[in-house]
Amino acid sequence: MNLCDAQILVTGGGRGIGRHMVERLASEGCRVAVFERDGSAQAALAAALPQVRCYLCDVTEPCSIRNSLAAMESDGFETDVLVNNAGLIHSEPLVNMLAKEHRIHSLDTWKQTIAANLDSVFYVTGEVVNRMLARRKKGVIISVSSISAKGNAGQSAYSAAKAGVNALTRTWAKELGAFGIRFAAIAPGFLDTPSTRQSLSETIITRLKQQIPLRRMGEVEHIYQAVRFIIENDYVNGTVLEIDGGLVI
Amino acid sequence: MTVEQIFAEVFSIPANTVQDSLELGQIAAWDSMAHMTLITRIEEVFKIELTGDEIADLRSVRDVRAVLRLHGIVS
Repeated sequence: MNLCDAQILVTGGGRGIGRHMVERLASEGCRVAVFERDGSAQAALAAALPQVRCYLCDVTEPCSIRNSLAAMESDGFETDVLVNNAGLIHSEPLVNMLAKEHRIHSLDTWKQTIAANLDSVFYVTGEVVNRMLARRKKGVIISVSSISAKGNAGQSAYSAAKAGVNALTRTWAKELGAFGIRFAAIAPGFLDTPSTRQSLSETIITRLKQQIPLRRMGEVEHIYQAVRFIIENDYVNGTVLEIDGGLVI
Repeated sequence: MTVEQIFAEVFSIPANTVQDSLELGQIAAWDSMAHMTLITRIEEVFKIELTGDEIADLRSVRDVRAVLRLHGIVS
């Protein structure tokens, strides 16, 4: 698919990796729409990039997704590429041996993490692919996964959700390939972002870098490059592209 | 291997900074996951098995020495 001809919907495009993708896609001249739950992030994006269509949307709520898709379509935007980027990182062990009480992983955080990272992909992709099939248009669905999908100690819910995303990617690639709709996932390793710097101490970051064969964290630009590659290469389907510097967890 | 060396290894801190008074909250890397690593290293090095209560009560270097003494180990 030609990047510049594509209409690209990015979920969670108001901040972090998503925001970088949106900026880069817009700079390439693509038509971009964003679903964002955070009103202030959405407003900031709309002010900075007026050519990008921004819609308030909670991708964990099917009704919110349908409303935002309807608003987007009434603005004349038909999705050719969906980037399922919205999600949240949550770290919590199955049993917290430091705690005196409530030692077992919280059910609330389990459900929130699965909803934000896995349910959202299921909901948005279903709605978007249904529309692609109705229009008999080819399309590309890219989901942001994680190397944690292989099982990362201390991230039960997040690892399970991202493993689910990988399984859905492979399942849908087989189910819908005949209709010209391709699916791929991107599994970043550790990225050098403000949130990483905020959540991990310098000591831990130094230790992490020593475990990465390339001895450095990735950049958000590496993730954008992977998105672009998947859109443009029409033979990529059902794959999980690991962008991790060779790190094995 | 000494208690100081175990703390230094698990938390990536210099061994000479490991004092008895050093406790949870003073080491940024001491979270619930690192606590499990600390426990397994203590059990491996001193060939003991800590009880669930002992694991949950370890909050400082002093606590580690005390629990080792209960297991007949002078560190």
